[in-house]
Amino acid sequence: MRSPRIIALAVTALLLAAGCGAADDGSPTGAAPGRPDPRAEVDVRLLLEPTSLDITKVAGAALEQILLGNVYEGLVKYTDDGKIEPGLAALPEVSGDGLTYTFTLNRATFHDGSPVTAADVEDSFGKVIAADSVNPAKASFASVEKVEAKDDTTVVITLARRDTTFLYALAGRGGVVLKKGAANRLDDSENGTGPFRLQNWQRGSTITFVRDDAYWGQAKAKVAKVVFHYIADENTALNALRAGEIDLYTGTTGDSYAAVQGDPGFTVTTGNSNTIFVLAFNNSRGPLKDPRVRHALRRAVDKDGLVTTLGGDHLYAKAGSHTAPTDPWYEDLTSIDSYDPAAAKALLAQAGHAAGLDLELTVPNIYPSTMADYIAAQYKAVGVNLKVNTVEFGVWLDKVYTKADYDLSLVAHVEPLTILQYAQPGYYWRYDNPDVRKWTEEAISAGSDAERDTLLGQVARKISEDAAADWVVRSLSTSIARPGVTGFPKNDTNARLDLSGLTVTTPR
Amino acid sequence: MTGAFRSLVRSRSGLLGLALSAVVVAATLVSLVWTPYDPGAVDPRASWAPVSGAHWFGADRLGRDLFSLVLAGARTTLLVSLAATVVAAVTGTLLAAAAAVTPGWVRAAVGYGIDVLIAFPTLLLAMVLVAVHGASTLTAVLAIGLGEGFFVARVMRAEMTRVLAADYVLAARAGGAGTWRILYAHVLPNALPTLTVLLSLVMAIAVLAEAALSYLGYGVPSSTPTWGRMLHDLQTQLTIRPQVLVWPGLAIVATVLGFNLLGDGLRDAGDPKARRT
Repeated sequence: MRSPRIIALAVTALLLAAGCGAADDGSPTGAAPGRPDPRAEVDVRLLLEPTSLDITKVAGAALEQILLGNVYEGLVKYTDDGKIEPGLAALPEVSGDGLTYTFTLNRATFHDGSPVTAADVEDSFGKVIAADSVNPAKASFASVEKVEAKDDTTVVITLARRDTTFLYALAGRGGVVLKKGAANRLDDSENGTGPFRLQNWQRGSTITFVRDDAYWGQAKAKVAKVVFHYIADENTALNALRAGEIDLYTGTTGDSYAAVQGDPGFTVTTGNSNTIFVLAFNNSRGPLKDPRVRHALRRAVDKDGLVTTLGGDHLYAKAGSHTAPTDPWYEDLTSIDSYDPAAAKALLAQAGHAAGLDLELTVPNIYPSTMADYIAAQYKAVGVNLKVNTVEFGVWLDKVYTKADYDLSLVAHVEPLTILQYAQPGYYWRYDNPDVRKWTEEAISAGSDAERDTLLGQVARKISEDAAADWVVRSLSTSIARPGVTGFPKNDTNARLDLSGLTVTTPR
Repeated sequence: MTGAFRSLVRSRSGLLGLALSAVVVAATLVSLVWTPYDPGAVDPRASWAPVSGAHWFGADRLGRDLFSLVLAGARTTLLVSLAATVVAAVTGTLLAAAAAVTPGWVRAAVGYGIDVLIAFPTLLLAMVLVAVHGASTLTAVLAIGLGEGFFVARVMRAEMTRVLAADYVLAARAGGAGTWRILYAHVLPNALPTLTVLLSLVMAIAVLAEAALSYLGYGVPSSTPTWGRMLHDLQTQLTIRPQVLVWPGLAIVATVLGFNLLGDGLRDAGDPKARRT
């Protein structure tokens, strides 16, 4: 019968140990930068592990984040500062009507040594646009009419209508070029063209890439090995960072920022990001069909307060719609549905919910409970009882994303151009507005970028005025690196972590 | 019993146990009528507010008052551990009686059954219950109560077997008393002191188990403040603001220690050989 007391003592000991641990963290000393070390191994902390590596079938930013630009490449690529650059092909010649794109391939090779030919491109893109295609990027290729290999190195892509987003789609996951007739299983092996090869995947823990020494491009990878560590728990990740087990830390929050602030053993890099935390309303369901209820829910949440509690405006920013300052059509829409609990109550009363409203929020367990708790508390203040249902990410994908069986959902959307999904009534928001659909279609087939930007600006304003969702905060892209680790992208690291330029100059 | 009580408060550890337990009960009663702030109310301006006159224990990330949360957490802890203890007492006593008075192979079967069930970790049982019925206060109470009930049954079976062999029971049986009459009039009253001590210790275990379940996300629903959940939510601060973790940790330690010492004190006080007069 002594065991409870021993446990009690153990708890005390743990608390004491916690106090001590904070006092002496062994932070590494910043060594002077030396020469780049081509044998370096870099350990990277990521948040969300992919469920499969099959980029042609499985949705989720976790695949693009590590695979695009590292293992797989497209005809063109999207740089860290948002430009389109040549990839497996030179930049295309575009016909005057904007419908015919002619690509000339570079002399690239797959990891198995065989050359990349126009037939491979035709086959890869043909599979994306096929009627039975389940490629998550199929919609981004909607304008493609046909893909033809003219000769070994020339590919002609014909569009059915103008598409101002087409080159972005080509630089995205849909544009990945795979070898025609390759029989390897894509879910856990690859035959890509990128500067890294997949070496090993320890499910639940790490994915390891090694440099492809036979890489076809001018510049081979500058480090020998990259190990992605999937550590969802922030405390564990921070401990690993401090213990020197992590060289590059992504997914920085207020806590990790506070922990390394002012420590010369780390450098903090902040970039822009398209990562927007979307509090999705199921626009097709129950009380949420009523725009007054959606507006009331938006007005009930103090976004300034949320930014403060999450760590401040150097890590998070308010978002008034699904658009970020990096979008050319960006407009500050944060004044729409600004915080006003009294107005929220009045709107709810008008909608017939004066006595209160019960709603359920389905949120994947990869995010800290802070945001959901905050929203629930603020909803409570206006008479909305929010039940928070935390689920595994796989359950979220199935229940919310696929079946739209939910009231509210909270996830971070990281891909650029996600705004186009508001024109897809079948997307899990179940949002359907004829104006938004029309403007989006017009924007995609616009004759000029200026015209496109005006139209997408209208879309951004309309979805906010219509409260299609609540965009609670936009997170900036903050990375923590050990001194000497450079050359990694600083923008939008949640969506894409192209490590082809990653360099280590500190002797390790 | 007054003599036992006197000897309980005379022993230093017993007095400390009584005092700590009283503080927890008092905190629970106070939280029913008053907390400085609504424990669930967020206030961005008070995010990570330090210990001050306005926030006695400081505030968490969302600006929720930690003192109010600890007070409200006492409510959940006491409710769950009390209810679980009642469940444990009832199941434990019934099982023990079944194992003690039934004849031959039934007695052996129940006895072995208890031994097997006692090997089931309470947490595992709780996870199974939660997987089937979803996390709720009732699930937590049942899981902890049943898990500890088997343990109670094991101890009580030995105690009841001892009492059943006593001369006065033989005398009652010779006088024609039936099994139920003997159980009710002789065995239970004589096994009660052991049960009392046992239950105070079970209560301490229940406090820890509730905290562990909430910490793991298998406990009461997320809108209910509990110490285990506070530890879970605040654990990311372990290396950044360790001071915020002290309060729920201290509350758990104080409560468990209190119930334990009270149990030890009660045992000593109830034992004539140990009683100082």
